[in-house]
Amino acid sequence: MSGDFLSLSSDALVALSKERGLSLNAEEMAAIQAHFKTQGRSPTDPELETLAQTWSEHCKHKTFRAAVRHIEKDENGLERGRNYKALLKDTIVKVTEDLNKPWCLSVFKDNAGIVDASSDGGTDALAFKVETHNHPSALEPYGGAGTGLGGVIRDILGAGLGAKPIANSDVFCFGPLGEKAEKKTGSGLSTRRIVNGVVSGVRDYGNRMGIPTVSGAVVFDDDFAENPLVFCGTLGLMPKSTIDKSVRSGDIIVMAGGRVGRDGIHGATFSSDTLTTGIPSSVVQIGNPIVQKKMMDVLLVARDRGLYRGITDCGAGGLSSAVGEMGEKTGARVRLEKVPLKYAGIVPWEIWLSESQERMVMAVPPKNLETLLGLFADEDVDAAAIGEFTSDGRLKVMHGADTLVDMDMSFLHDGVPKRSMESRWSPPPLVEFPKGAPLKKSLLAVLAQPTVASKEWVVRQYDHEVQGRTVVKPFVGPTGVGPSDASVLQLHPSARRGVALSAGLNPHYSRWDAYWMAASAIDEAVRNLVAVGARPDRIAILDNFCGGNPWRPEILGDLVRAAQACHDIARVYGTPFISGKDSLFNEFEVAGRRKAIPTTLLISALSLVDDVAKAVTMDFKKPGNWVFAVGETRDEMGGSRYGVHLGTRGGAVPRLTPEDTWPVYEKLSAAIAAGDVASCHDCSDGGLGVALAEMCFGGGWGAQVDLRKLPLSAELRREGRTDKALFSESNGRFLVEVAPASRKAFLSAMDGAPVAALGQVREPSTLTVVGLDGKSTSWTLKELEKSWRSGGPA
Amino acid sequence: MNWRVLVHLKPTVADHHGDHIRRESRLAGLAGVGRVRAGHAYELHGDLSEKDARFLADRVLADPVTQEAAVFPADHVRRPQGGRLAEIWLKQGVADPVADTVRLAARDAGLEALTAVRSGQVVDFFGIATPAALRRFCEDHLMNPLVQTVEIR
Repeated sequence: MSGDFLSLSSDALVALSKERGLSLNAEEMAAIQAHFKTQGRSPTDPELETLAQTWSEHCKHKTFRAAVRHIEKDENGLERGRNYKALLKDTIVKVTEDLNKPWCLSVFKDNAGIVDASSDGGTDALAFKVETHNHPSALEPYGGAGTGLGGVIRDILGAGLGAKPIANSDVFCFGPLGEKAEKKTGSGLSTRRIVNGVVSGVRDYGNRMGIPTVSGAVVFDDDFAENPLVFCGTLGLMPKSTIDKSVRSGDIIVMAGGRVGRDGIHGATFSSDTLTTGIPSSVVQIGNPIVQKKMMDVLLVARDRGLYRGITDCGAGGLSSAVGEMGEKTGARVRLEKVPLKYAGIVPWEIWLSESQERMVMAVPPKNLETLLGLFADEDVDAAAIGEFTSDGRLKVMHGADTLVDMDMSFLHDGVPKRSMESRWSPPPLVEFPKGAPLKKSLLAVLAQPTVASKEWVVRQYDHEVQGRTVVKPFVGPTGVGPSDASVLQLHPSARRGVALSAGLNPHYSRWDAYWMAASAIDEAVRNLVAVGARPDRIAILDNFCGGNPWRPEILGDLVRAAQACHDIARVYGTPFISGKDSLFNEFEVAGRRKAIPTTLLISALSLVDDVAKAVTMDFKKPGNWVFAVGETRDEMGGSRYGVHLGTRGGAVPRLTPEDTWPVYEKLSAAIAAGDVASCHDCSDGGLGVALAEMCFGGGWGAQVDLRKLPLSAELRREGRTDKALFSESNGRFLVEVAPASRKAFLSAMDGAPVAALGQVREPSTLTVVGLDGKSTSWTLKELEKSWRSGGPA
Repeated sequence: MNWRVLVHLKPTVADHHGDHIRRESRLAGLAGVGRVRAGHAYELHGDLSEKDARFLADRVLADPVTQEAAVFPADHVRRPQGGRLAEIWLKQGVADPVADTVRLAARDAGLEALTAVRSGQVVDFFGIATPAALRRFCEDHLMNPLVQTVEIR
């Protein structure tokens, strides 16, 4: 960088940021200029790039750390304001700190959240992390999704001193299937290409690494055509004794795994801006799971032999972020000529910033270096000492005799100006929900909607059995057709303790209110865990926010309401957040047209299962068993799958009173633990109707239920609309199958909860629903399953 | 000397990928395409004899049970009789893990002379489809122009 930098005007600084793809705004560029004025020199190009990577939205989460002035209107048009000193800290972090769960061993400070996996002084801990890889997947679906999963697996390898990955999760939001799927999106690829590429990318990375993919969800909606969302998660198992890590002055910096090429340069900064056309191919990363598998195997051996003291993954920003982060409190000196390269001709700044995959960085005590490098060499995994951690608090990067970077660590990490932002929200006008359609056709049509329909065409591509821990699989029942609410894994073959994983996601609710979108996502993830018999008192959750450009006050308004809901619901449910991530600027701009996704919150959840043999699945088990509805059904049709079927955006979005639902969940959990529940399924997309159909064909049994017995809100009972009772997506509800012999005990356990026996499981393969008007509608299991299986790609 | 290796399924083995591409071409309205044959392509760089290239082709790149490999000098241009060939390669600078694996396998097999590898896919389109139409079809359905290039021969 020439000496002119120190005298550039604000406009020129912004132009420089844009020209270099730094994704830094005027205030941030001014802070860099002011800092280097005190140093009496301009920054070098690598210094500027290092700051851009470290200060990127992707790495620093500047919006969620911002002070926000939030203004919202109520239904009467009255405005009220609220100030957040720091959005994340005042909501999600605050509720987690207030809950102060002793079993949360490491939250919001490491590469993943870590919880105690036992309640009896055992030695296991679980590390869980979910990442997004949206921008890369929009442009190169196979490589983007594969490296998204590869990256989150490395997060688990870099949590504490490293956990063994035991399960993956994947959640996708895509554009519509059907004819529209053939249409090219802004990235130049059709939705069908994006879907196929993303699913193959996740499949090939997870399967080849020998990690089962056991949990997930897929949503299809017009709003995601240009900006698909790709969430990849990994769960790891580790000894509690390895959750702490450190870096000491004098430790050697070792890079292990893949070699460095030009791939992925500017990945972090590119992910922190709106997508446009004309993206260079250099930002694209393509993974190599075999290299990562070999590296993982050696790392876990090295961990158990205590050969390194600290570890992190080389992700966004490459070495610049990994070394900069590890050496924050000490300082670091890196010699780039020692970094193993894929090919000659890579210039030093490219080595420093490349996001070439499958790499980890370790802090190694000098006495262990030879042994560690020998261990990697024995398994044919590249590893090299590339520098050392110092005690001068500076980041110094050299290549031969040239110094590329010589900066204060404190400025690198704390110099980014804190943002002050404004957000606004006002409720959308309530639109009347239209008259209904015939029940028989409607249920078949809702079952065939791609978001509701069977995802076997996706899930069956994944290995969900490898490692032999999976007890409740993604599909259950005697023929393996029923879609599970959550997956359950056994931690060790010799013990019955396990862990359950689930997800909650309702992006379409954001069109009404992001507060209830977030509340519903938490409730759905929690319900799914409760339904399989996981412990309600050990639920930990993760947040992954996605949205458009947060500088638009209405988009930030949605994020603020969603974050506030996270605080409010988690406080009552007692579910701490252990990790999270945000991906903003999910907008595509082409030819001046800008399209943003709806604000989306994925909640991923885990909880302990004391005895995996007592886990419950969702398929009906036996004719003659009772079918109970748990929870109240209300007139909450906004955002429902039935609303999509009717082509309306009318109705009110489902709300949640956590003080009412939580005691019900505790009672239901107790009934499941006591062995009084034969099957249990939560009511979510498509409501009671879809849940009933799935339980029927999942188990291969019919059922007869009478909706007149359903616990209904007074308003809905007065209105008497059967279609609303069948398709409402009110939160807090389950269908539960109970054997006649357990009926009394079940009702006793559920005392005081909104519970009613709707009918019974029946032998004939027919589902019959008696409506609120007393009229019956019947479906054969064959036609229900056929519709449900018809919703995939042609 | 540099070499090009083309790997295809043996004629007795069903070419499902080729059939899939043919179906895609029909759905896309691409006229003039008859049979489609899909395969893999590799460029081997280094001081290699034809015997070395043949060794790699047979022992590393092709499954001897289901596949067969043909070895050509790198500058050889092959066009299928009665059709056209589409060659799809990764752009320079894009990570090529398949090529990395081939290089390691060659080293393990004692062939140190192999210095660089490129991997790609080849598709033989039999029929009378025009090069322009084939290029458009490949760009829309078989590749990602952001990271790959296509040559129609």
